[in-house]
Amino acid sequence: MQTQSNSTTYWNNAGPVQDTLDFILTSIDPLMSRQRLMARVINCIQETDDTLTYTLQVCSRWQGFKPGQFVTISAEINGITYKRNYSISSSPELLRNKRQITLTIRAQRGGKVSPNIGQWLKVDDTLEISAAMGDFICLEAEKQLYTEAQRAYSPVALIAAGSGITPIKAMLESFCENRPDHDICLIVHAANPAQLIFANDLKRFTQSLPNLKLSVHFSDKEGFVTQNQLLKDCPDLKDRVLYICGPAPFMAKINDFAEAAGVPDFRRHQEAFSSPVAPRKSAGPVTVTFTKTGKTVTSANAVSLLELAERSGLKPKFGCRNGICHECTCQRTQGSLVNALTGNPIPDEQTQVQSCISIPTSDVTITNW
Amino acid sequence: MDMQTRALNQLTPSELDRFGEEMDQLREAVLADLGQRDADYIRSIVRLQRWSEIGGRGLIHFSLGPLSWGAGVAALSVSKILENMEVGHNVMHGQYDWMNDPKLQSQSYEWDTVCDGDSWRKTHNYEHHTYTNILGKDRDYGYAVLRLSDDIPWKPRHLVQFVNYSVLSLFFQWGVGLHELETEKLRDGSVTLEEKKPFLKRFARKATRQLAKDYVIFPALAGPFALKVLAGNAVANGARNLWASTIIFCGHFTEDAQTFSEEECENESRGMWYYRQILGSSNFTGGRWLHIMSGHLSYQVEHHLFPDIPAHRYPEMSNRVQAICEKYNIPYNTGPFGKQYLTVLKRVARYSLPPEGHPLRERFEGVKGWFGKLKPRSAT
Repeated sequence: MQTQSNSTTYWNNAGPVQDTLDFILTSIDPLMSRQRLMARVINCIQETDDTLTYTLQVCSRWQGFKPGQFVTISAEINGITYKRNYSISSSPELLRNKRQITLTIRAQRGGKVSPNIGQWLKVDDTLEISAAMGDFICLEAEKQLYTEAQRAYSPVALIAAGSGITPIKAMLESFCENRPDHDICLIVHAANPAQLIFANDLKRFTQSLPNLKLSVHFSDKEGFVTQNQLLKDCPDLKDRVLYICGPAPFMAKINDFAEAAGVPDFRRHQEAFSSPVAPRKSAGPVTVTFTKTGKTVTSANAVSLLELAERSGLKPKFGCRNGICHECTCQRTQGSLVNALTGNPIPDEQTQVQSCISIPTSDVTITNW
Repeated sequence: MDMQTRALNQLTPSELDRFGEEMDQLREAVLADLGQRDADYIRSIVRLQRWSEIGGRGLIHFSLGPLSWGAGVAALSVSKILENMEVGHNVMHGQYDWMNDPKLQSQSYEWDTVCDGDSWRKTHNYEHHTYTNILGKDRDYGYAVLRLSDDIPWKPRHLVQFVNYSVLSLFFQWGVGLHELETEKLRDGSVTLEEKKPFLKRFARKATRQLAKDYVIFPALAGPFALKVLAGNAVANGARNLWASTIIFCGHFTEDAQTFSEEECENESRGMWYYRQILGSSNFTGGRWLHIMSGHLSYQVEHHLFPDIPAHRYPEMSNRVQAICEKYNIPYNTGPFGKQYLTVLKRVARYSLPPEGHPLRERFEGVKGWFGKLKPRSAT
């Protein structure tokens, strides 16, 4: 990450002066906020029937990205703020020239945010975004292994399935701009032609990148990826640097095939699009992880998070131990809980939970203890 | 004591359980319904509060005469009241934790008063809301300064407790800020000053910041007009103190609000806890603005039943609460603001006198006029 300047530190120290000035600035234009990075939706196009591409005007303080990185957006739906990661699908050139980025978002079945994203995120809306994050960056890690000249001629294989093509597209845009003659093997998987995201852009890439070899596969017709198919698309796989992005089972398969084909571990890069939906219930004991202190504790019975924390040697603040006072509130990022008073599940999107009445029903992660 | 015990025993344990279930159902129904409306509401109050603070401070700063200065003080007072009552108090209860908005989170919110947020969360959210009106456990009952029930032994100093009450009201934020110091326990030696050092440190830090803001930095910005800014800020803080104190006293110290002993609250069921919250609290009626400016503590009964449900929901929940109370024959204490406050004043006055049977009591019995009306009603 970028190092924080003194000014950033000042604004992030929430105090009455900062809060009031930021309030005035954001009342003029949300993008002027000094405490948060903001963006405005200026365009939205339908990519496929379940995928939208948003063009965002980012605020002047947003510091840029490397192709392949993602941002976390804060989406407010029905009063609740959800945070979701989406890869940037546009070129660095678009940011340089117009201070814009695009995010391509596909509806995830059972998701809280993406299925109806078109309803709550519209043109002219503003939203909070994070700085660009992630190390799924094209030929970035290779900086330590190769000279600049070697890097320029390292052949790559970009392998994407479904919406996994979004960070790959940013990489291809970057190649178009900087090294159009780079040796690229691009393999794209989609369910069927209607589901293929960026069909027109792919055509454009084959024209502007002379050394690009594109293979497109549709699983509805051809079934899932096989080792033979992969090596047919890319016979020299073992000599390339791999960038793999797609659903977890797809990436696991490609990884296995690539390993069998002799691609060393350090040349296989992948981006996990983790699903925020936790398993509903796990049979048997569950593990609670307190990431701040690094402690873990296992529980086989209906024991509250507060008690589990105490068992593991932590001494969190508490009050009534009865669900009244909220003194023992902790921050849950993963895992499911039930309310001990009502027996009802605590909604997954609720991150601030009262630990004295929260009983884990799956592995749970608490970030502030 | 008789009256309270009788009231607590009115319902059988199974009736209390059913009553508790009905309250739980109401709670779950509203929790399930929370959404954009509540988010929009609290944000609109925050916006209003911020603009009135900016406008108020601006007017005080650039005022040309007493009129514009007065308008500025009024706007700043409104801002401080809104921030403390409708935003701060409610946010710190966890009423908006579900929004995942870092600016509206209970455990990190810090409000515009000398009372440190952590101290408030401990003494108010935990102690007062868990042990509401249990004498000896709820230190909010009389704030260890006032004698508001016969359970506290009468001492001659109580004769002037009206003066204490007035001073407490005017400097209410200091009383609230120093509440955790537990001066009464320091006096009887059950707590040492050494143990209170961490608290005093936090208090000193917060108080310094607050004093610096209103009495040093903002006045200094006005240069030669520093005095009028200092005076304006002092009046606004004082107005907020008086208002907050008055609202809060109406919540638990009205004539019919009941108190409880530790023994009768041992092994309390959830139904009993709800029941105690209703008996120990009192509402007052009024216009929409009175409710907003009181942080909806005008619905103290609902607030004590559901301290972590967004307060602007209390008016709509009140009908159902009253219906449930009627069904179980539980008194629901409400009345016009002025009338309720008058009973608070009566309570302060009544318990400044020694209890019946006290040798000094006879001397007061003879006094004609309003003292005569202050006899406890429990005699009936």
